[in-house]
Amino acid sequence: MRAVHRALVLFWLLAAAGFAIVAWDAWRTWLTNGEPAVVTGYTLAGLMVFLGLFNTRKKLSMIPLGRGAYWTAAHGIAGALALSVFFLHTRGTVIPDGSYERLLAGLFYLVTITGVLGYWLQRMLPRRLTENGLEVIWERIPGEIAEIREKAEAIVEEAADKSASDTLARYYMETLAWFFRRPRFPLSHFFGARAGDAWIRREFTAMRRYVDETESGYLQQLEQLALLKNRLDFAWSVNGFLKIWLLFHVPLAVGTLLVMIWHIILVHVYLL
Amino acid sequence: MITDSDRFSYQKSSYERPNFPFVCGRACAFGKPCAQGPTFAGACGGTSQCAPFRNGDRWECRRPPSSGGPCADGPLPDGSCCMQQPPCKPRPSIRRLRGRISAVVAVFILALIAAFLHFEPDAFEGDRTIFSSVMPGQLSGAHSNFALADKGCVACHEAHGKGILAWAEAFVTANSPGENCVDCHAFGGGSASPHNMTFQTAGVTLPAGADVRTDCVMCHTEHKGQDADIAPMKDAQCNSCHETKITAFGRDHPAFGERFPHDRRPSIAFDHVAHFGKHFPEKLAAGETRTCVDCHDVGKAALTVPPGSFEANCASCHLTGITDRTLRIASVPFLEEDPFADTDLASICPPTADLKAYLLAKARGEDAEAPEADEYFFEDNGDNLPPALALALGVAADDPDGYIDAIGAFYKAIAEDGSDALAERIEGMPGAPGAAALLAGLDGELVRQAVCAWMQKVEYEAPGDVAGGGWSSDGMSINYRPVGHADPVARAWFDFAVNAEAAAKDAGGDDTVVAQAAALRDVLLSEYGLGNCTKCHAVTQVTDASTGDGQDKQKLMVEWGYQAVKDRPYVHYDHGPHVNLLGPGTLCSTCHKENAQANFSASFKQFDATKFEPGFLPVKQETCTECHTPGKVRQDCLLCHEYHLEPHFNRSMGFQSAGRVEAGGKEGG
Repeated sequence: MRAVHRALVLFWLLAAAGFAIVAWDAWRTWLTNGEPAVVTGYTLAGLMVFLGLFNTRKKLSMIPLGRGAYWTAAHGIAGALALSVFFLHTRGTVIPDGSYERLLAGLFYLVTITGVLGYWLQRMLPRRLTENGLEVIWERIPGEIAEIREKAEAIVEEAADKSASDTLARYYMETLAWFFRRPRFPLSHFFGARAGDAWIRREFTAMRRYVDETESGYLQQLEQLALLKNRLDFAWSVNGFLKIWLLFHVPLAVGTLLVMIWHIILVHVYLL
Repeated sequence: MITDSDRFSYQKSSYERPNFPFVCGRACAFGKPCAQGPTFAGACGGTSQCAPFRNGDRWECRRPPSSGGPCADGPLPDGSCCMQQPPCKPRPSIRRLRGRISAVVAVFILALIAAFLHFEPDAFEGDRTIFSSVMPGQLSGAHSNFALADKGCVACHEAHGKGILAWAEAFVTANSPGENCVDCHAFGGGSASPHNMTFQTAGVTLPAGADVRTDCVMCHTEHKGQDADIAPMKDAQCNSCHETKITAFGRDHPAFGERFPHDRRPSIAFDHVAHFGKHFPEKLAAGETRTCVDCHDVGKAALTVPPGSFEANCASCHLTGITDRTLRIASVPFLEEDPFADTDLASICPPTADLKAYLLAKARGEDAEAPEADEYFFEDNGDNLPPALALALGVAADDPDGYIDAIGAFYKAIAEDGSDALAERIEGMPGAPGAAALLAGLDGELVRQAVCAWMQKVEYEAPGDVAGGGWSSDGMSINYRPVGHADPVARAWFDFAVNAEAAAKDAGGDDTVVAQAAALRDVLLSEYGLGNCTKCHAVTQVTDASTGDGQDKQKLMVEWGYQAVKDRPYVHYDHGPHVNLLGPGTLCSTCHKENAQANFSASFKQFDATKFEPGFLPVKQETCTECHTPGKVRQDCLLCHEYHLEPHFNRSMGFQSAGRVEAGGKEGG
C-alpha cells in the first residue's frame, strides 16, 4: 500500500473517530438539556478554518508543511467531515429560517458542491491526461501552440516555394489558421468527445484530393502538427477545468468563512 | 517544441515565474510570449528583445540565448534594441483572478450584512423579520405577537441595539436570554429548577445532576419558524435524569397507583355507587335510566369530563335540602332574671302590639286592661344562645349566669342602635370576614324590633311571612335561610366558620371563645347546618401560603364548586379523544368501574383529602396499553406528562398586551 493510501485510510479513521466523538458529545449534551450546537458549531468552525488553510499551504510551498498529496487527502476528508458536522449542528435542518443563516447555509452548500465537483475532477481528469500521453504545464500551453503555429506556417511557406502552388497556403489561410490560432473544441475535450480528431480527419481527407505529390508530403506534416495541437487542446481544456473550478470554490469558501464569523459573533452577543 | 525534452534549460528557455500575479498578454492571446514577461506590477516588460549593454564606447546586444542570442544587427546607435515590438497588455494570472473574485465576494458579503444590519427586526412586520442580518429565523407565533411586537429584540436580548461597546461586552460575558422568559411566563415553582420543583423538600432522593440550575433555552429553541415546535423533548432526555429508565410505556413504566387516577377525594361528595345503585332507581320512573353523560359534559372533556351545573343535575332532588337549613343569629335567651328590668324600654323601643292596642283604646276613651308582662318569658321561651351569637359575645352559649350581663347590654345596644351593634359584634369575631358578607341583606329594623319585643317579654310578630330565603324571624329568633344553591351569605359563614377555632386561638381568645368557635363550626358542618352545604362540598385541610411570614400554615377550606382534581401536576390526560373514540357515554366503564365495596361517603367526614376510598376501582395500566403500545398509538413521555409545574402567564403580560391594543398597536406577524 502506498504511503498516500495509508494516509488516506488514517485520515478517514481519524475523521470517523472525530465525528463519533462530537456526535456522542452532542448526544450527551442534548440528553442533559444542554446546547450541543456549541460544541458542534466550534468543531465545524475549526474544520472550516482547517479547510481554508489548504489554500494558504499552497502559497507557502517553501515551508515543509507536509506533502501536498496528504494535504489534498486531508482537505477532502475534512470537507466530508464538515458536511456531517454541519448537519449535526443544524440538527438535520437543510434550509434555516433566517436570511443570514440561509446565506450561510447556501454558501456552505455551494462550497461543498464545488468541492465535491473539484474532487471528482481531480480524480478523473489526471487519468485522462495521462492517457493523452502529453504532459504539459498548463501555463506553457499558449507558448507551445504558438510554436506549433509557427512551424505550420513555415511548412506552408516551404510547400509554396517547392511546389510553386498556393493550394496549401490558401487551404491554411482559409481553414487551418483558425484551428492553429488557439485551443479549439474545449467542451468536446472535457467531456471526452473527439470533435477535434473528427475535424482534422474530415478536413485533411478532403484536402488530400487536391494536392499533388510534393504538396502531399507537406500536408502530411501539417496533419501531424494538427494532431499534436489537438492533444495540446485536450490538455488545455482538461487542465483548465482543473483550475477554473477553484475560481468558484475559493471565493465561496471565503464568503462562507465571513458569514460564519458573523454567525459566531451573533451567537456570543445574543445567546451565549 | 514539446517533443524536445531538452527544451527547457538555462540556455534554451526563459525564466518562468508562476507566482507572478500577471502573465504575458501575448501568451494569453496564444502568441509567442516574450522572454522578459510582465513586471510584478502588471506592466509589459517586453517592448524590446534585450537591454543593450554599453561596453566602453560600444553597445552590445544582450538578447538571451533562449531568444536566439545576440542578434546580427546589434543595438542602435542610441543604445536601444533594434528589435522593438509593440507592448502587450498583461493579464492577471488565475491565482490573482481568484484573489480578486474572493475579495469581491468578501466585500459583497460584508456589504450585505451591513445593509441588512441597518434594518432592525422591529422595523419589519410578519414574515419580513427574517430579512434582518441579526435575525437567525422567525419567532414562533406567540412570541412574535407578544415579545417582538411589544419590546422588540431587547425583550430577550439585552445587548441588541446598544452599540458596538455593548456588543463587545456581551461577546465576552455570559448572556442568558432565558432569564427574560419569566417576564411573561410563570410556574408553580422556581423557573430555574428542573420541573420547577425543589425536590429536596419533597423528600425524594435525587439522582446525580437533578439539582442543577436549568435555563429555558436549554430546551426551548426559538427562531425556528412561526409554526416550529420550540420545545421538542424526547423520551431519552427524560431518561437521562430519571433513575427509572422507561423504554416503552407498556414495558417498563411504573404501575399505576392503587387509587389511580386520584390520590385525593374529589371536591364534591357524589357517591356514584349510591346514586346508580339506589337513588336513581328509587326516584326515576320505571324504565328511565341515567348514564354518565347525563351529568358529565363531554363537550368539555379534557383532563376531566366536568359535570353539569347543580341546577341541571342535582336541584330536582337536593334543592329543598339546602333551603330548609337555617342559621340562627339571635334568639330569646334562657334567663332566670330579667336583665332589662331597670331599663326604660319605652324610651328606646316601640310599644308592643298589645301595648299599642291598649294605648289606642285608652286614647279613644275605652275601658282597656293594661297588658302584663310574662314574668317567666325568658325561662319559658328562652334557650341557649345560638353559637354565632355566643361567639360574637364571647360567652358560653349554655351559661345563663355567664351571658346575662353580656346579652342584656347587647340587646339594649341593638334596641338603641339597631343592627350596628350586631354588625360591630360580628366583625369582632376572630377571623370574621366582615359584616357586609356575613349579614348581607339583614334589615336592621327587623333586628331591632325583634330584640325590643323580647326585651318587653313578648314574641315578635313579623309583619308577614318572607317568601324565599334570606333574613327573617320566627318570633323567638332571627334566622338566615339560603335563597338557593351557592348562596353567598351561606358561603361566607362556612368560609369563616371552618377556620374560626384556629382564628380564635391565633387571636389569643380564651377557652370560652375557642369553644364557641368550634361549636359554630360543628353546627354548620352538621347535617342541620346552614344549607347543609357540606353534605356535598368537601371541607379539606390545605396549606395556607398567604400568611406572608414564610411559614406554611394549615387551614380548612370548603371546596366550593366542582374542582378538577390535579393530583399529578406533571400528568395531563385528555378525555376528549378517548370519549370520541369509544363513543360518548357508552363505554366510560371501560376504564371507570364502580367500587361497590368502598365507603366513599365516609371519606368526607374528616378533613384529610388524601384519606379516602375511591368510588371507582383503579384504572389499570393494562387498559391503556391495549392501544398505547408500539405499532399502535404513540406512547412517548410527553403524551401524558408535562415538564413544567403549573405553567401559566404573569399578569404583566396581559397588561402589556392590553396596552398594545389600547394604543392601537400594530398587528403581530
